[in-house]
Amino acid sequence: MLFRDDIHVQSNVFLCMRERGKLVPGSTREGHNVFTNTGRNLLSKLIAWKTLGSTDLAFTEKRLRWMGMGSGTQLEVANVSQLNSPVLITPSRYLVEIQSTEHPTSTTARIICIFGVSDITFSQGVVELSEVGAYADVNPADSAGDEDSAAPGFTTALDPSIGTNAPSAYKAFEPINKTADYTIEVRWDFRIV
Amino acid sequence: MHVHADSTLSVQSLFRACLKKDGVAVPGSERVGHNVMTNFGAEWLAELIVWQTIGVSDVPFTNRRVRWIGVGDDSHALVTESIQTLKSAVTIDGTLYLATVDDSLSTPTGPEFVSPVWVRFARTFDYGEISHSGDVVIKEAGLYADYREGGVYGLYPTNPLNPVIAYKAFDGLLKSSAFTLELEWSFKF
Repeated sequence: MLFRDDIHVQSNVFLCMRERGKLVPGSTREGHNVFTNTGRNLLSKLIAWKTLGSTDLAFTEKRLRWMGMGSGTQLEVANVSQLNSPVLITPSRYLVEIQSTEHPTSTTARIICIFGVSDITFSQGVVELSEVGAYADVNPADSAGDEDSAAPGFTTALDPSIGTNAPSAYKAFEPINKTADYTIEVRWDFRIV
Repeated sequence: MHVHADSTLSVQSLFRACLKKDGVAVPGSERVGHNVMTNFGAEWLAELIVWQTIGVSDVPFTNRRVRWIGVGDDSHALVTESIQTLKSAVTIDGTLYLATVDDSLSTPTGPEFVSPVWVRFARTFDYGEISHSGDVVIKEAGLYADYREGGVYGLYPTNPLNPVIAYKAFDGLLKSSAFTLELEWSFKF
């Protein structure tokens, strides 16, 4: 009989542009994506305690926290280490916080990010977008101390002001043109099956 | 056109059990194989990877991580992801049904990272453990996610019915005070 002898994390990205709440025709992109080595490393550290004691100590407290977008593209493979061509979301940040998390089923986690009309296109004009990344992190305000200090390959909190952060999951898609008239809605599902 | 690869992350989990006497494996006592991740385990993982709220201070859905192993002297006839508990949990020391995955008898102690994406949990049950009141035939094992904060656990180690995140049934192993029992559970992401 069939049973879950291996665990599968199926991730799927849906994104679209909206103008005053209405879907922009032809702007929907949907598909599977890749869990990067950074994401796999995160999962292996996340499920384990580093030390057990009166109060257990974790290897990492990072969880999916940010999204970033870019105008480049690259092969969707596990060794993706950054967006190919990251774009600024605000004048000083390449990453924005995920706005909400849902569990459409008990074994599915969905992260949602809405890029506003002035996000990305804060200087007006048109910005072509063709890649998106999801990033795991702790709250920068909580990052002081020894967060992840004993986990090789991990750094402390990410720096949203640089474009070279390593995503845990990555998706390349057919380009869409973002203008200041549009918002972008990104929904990213992680389904454990 | 985009080339897509690795669109689904397959996590390989493997279970291994073995009796040892004076550190030497007892012939015929090795049990190796895949296991089942329960629905409870899948729900736990879906909650673990995301924040519940992101704000001034981020709040997780769960802070449970792999912490315990338990064993039983019977097994579920039908092994599916709907399994919730061991069928017939036995105590480790007469009181506790759960043993930490971090103990001084394991080599190495605590979780071992075989590679950056491959974590292995191990527990070696000492001569007097499990068989504290006589021989026990071990036929099942379960893995548990939990936390301890300020001395307080989420699960109840004295309760035989804690929910398992992963489960393995196997051909019986006679645990007597002449043997140690070594269990390993690995997850390769």
